[in-house]
Amino acid sequence: MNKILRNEARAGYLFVAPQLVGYLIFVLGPIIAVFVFSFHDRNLLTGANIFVGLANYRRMLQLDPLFYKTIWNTLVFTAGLVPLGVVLALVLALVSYERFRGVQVFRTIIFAPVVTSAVAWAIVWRFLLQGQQGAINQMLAVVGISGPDWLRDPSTAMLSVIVSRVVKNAGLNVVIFLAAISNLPEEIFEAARIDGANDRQLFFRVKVPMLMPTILMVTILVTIGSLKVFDHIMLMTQGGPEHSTMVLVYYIYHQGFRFFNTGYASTLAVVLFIISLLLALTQWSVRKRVYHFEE
Amino acid sequence: MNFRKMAAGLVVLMLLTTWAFAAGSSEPRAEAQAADLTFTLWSGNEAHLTLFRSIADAYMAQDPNVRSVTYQTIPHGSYLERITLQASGRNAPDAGWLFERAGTAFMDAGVLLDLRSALNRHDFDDFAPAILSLWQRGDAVYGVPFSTSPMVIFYNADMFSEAGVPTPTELQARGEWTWERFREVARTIRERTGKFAYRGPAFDETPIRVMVPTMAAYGAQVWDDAGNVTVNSPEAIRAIQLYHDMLFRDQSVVPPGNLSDFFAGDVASTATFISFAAQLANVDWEWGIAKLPAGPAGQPGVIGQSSIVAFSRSDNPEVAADFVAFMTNRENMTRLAQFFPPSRNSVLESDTFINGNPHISGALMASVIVPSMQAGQVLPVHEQYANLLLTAQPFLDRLWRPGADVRAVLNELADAWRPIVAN
Repeated sequence: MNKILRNEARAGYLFVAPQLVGYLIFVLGPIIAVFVFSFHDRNLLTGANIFVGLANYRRMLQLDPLFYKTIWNTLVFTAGLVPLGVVLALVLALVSYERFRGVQVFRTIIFAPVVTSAVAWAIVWRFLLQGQQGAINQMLAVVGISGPDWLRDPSTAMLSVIVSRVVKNAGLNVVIFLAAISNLPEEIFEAARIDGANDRQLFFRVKVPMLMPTILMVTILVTIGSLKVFDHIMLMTQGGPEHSTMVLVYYIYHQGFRFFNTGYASTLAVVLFIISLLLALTQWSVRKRVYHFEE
Repeated sequence: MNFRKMAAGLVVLMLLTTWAFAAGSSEPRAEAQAADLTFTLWSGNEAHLTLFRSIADAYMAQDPNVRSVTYQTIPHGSYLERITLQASGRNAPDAGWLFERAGTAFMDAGVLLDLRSALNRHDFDDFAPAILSLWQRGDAVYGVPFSTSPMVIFYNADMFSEAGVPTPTELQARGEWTWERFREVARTIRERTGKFAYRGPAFDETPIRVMVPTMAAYGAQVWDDAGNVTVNSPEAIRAIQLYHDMLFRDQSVVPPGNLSDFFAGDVASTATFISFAAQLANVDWEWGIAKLPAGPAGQPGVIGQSSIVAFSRSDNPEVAADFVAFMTNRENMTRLAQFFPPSRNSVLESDTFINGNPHISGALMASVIVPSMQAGQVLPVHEQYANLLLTAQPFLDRLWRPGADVRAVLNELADAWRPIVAN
């Protein structure tokens, strides 16, 4: 008996081995390496690698005002992206769940941006948002509104990047929501109706609580995804204007690959890691409180 | 039991991975008998590559110890990242192209090989000293400029005649080709055609370069060789104010964020490097080239420069240096001159260079390109260039906005730059 169990266990380990080895080499190894690098003065160009203890952390906290700005920008980006992204995806999922003429076309339009290359997407948005010549401002001009220079004005640049990113990725979350909505048991809605619930109550008191696990999962996905934003920033604003869209990942790239300070870049990456970890932990602990029904 | 073994295995693997990532990269490799050279460049143009391959074939024929030469094309935008990453992964290229902005930082980091003794074997005195100077430190030479490209004005002659104004070439012939006069002409083009008259260097990709063409005509520099920040000198302020007025008062120049393009026929003129002439091969409008407009300091010359360098992390440093010297000897540089403005005096005066460019006539080469090269100042360089750029960005974003106080912003920029430039 024992032998059989052992053999089974061995087979199981073998099955997970490819994934595990990949994870160790390409995920865990680099994460550990980043921690090690963060205590070194490393330069990619000169090949220098000197242990400096906490000097990089001291520099980050005491001497680098841009660090605080990038943290703030990252939080603003996340705070703008997550609610917009989740609500938009939920609304689109509810609409496209209904059976109306052209629903297939509607779903395709929602999903098309997801399979579009991020680079092409960002470049097209740059054209749409360029000053008074951009399509968006020309449409606004038709109704008598003089639009701002979206990507050049520090007060609108971040918003522009957020919106372009929300629209790009909404389709993926719509699919997740659609799957969850179609799995909701009809009989509960029937029971609620019999008990006299109106449409509003049905939505807020029954549907939303039952979708809570999915909403939470999508929120976590969008939040963690938002911390990694790089392509849209690089292609649309390059961190400008006036560093208003310089987010942490883009700043890490600047330090690592423009200035070749891989040691300091690693220190910043450790901060990013800690922020992601804290967010994920918070969300999982909230999970217990919002789960109204779990199998 | 099994779980414990498994866990132990995992820990070992983790430690191995960490070691692999954290290990240094300076371990010397045993000298190989036959050398395989890798050469990085940012051109993927088949005509360029064919020429470079034939140079490599000639080199391998004369030195049987060189087994292969591989040309690796890396896009310009990620060039520096890629070659530095390859070098830190013990996979350094042996030689390659390098642009002027990176030259200083690379020389100071000690990652370029001194080519002097290899170049001495190929008539070193033939190199034009002014063109070579950026890449020299005392007697040492860390790069051979293979492309010294003057910034010139390209213009759409059809749009100038549609607006009823003289072209830059005509103004140049009358001795009226100055920024002040260009401003008037540009305003007329804007009024009569509704199109932009000029597009300068890109605000996003090359923000410091934006200021250079106008400032050079006024005798101003962003910083000088002695480590002084001069971006707020009276001449610089005059020059930038003029360009600012063209941009926002006259609205005759393509503003930041606007993607109107000269080569697509949307804009009447642009300042760029002569290598862009190839993009005009198939346009259906008349075009011409002229020198940059002059100013109180006379006729400015602005040159962009790329060099061929050998990297000190090469496995075959001596071969790499020798290959660079061979590639830039008189014969090969003459062949390269059909694409790239050369740095050897003998080639500069040669017929291949003057009459060999498929897009620009010999007369224009002799009257515009060669004098612009000789008068030219290389674009601003600094070992802290990337840092200066990041620091400048918020100020430049505020500068290039309608109603900006040019003097005040340039003063603030100078204050922010001073500690970095002086360092």
